[in-house]
Amino acid sequence: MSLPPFELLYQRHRDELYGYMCARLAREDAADAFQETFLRALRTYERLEHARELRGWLFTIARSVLADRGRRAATRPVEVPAALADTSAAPVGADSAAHTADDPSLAELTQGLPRKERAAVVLRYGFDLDYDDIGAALDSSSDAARQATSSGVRRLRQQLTPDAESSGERKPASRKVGHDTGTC
Amino acid sequence: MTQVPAELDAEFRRHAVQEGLFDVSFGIAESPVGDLLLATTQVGVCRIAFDPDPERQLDELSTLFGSRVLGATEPLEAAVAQLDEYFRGSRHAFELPLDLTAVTEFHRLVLDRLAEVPYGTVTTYAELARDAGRPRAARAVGGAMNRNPIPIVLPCHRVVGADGSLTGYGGGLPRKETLLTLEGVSL
Repeated sequence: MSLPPFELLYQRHRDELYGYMCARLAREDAADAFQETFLRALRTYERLEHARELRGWLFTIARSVLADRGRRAATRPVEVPAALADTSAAPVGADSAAHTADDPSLAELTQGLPRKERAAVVLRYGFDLDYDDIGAALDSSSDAARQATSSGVRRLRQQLTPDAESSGERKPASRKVGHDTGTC
Repeated sequence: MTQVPAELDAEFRRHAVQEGLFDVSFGIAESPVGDLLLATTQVGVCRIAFDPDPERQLDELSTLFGSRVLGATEPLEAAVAQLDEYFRGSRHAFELPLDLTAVTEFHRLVLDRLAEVPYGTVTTYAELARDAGRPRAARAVGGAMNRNPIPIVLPCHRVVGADGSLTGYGGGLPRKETLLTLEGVSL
């Protein structure tokens, strides 16, 4: 089956893909990621060997764009203003992750973590990627990504509430985070 | 569903063109003979269609020139400007690069001769066949005119029957009449 004209593919999926980005990023970042996704798609479109699963192909590119942005965000040095340096009042662990990807508090909160754990936590809770995609972004497996995320969250809990950890106090149950946080 | 803002849509298309990420770019232009679909490759203008519904044209353009078919007006600016001048009467000859790679050798030969028919004049299918070195191929020339991928710029409206009748036109006889009248040809 030959490839459809790119314009038709673009028209068919652009709104859905823009919504996907908006659910994960602030408006300006969503616009950049949207463009980057379709530009990457155009760069490789001719090399596709068949026209099956084109929507899935586009969303794979979209996740890869998000992963790249997450990786850059996770490794970007963050200067924490004095007023924000005291993070003791911040929410804790996975519960704390209800931030949009552009929310600087997640980058700040995680800056003390080892590099891989930090990247995993940011990709999971800032960009809402699943563990397969995080593994791909970090050149490791899905299990390793889950483990790195889990270790990062555990370490954050220890850093932020050392008393609670040592006293064995139970934390509130974690909730699923990172969905529909967009601002488009 | 969240709709892509028009500015973002335009920006994406602009960036794609700037990076040269297209095989065909197309757009719609208004004209006195109705909306026209214009398309260009990186080589030159490859299609003018009187049917402005892109969906009906894009599949064919994709098959002929490559699947990266994208709506974008920037690569068409020169064509739009020259067509505008033509319809205002201030341009009698087009100076546009054309992409005729998708036509057969004979078709190309006929279109080359057709391009030499001056503004405001007419020729016949038989004369054009003779000019193309195939004097007995008047009927085939008629077929070639009917499949002219770039009408107006390649002026198949200037080809009439041996008795001076308009005979036929891919865009319909009223358009042919309008174009000839615009050029001052008395019918």
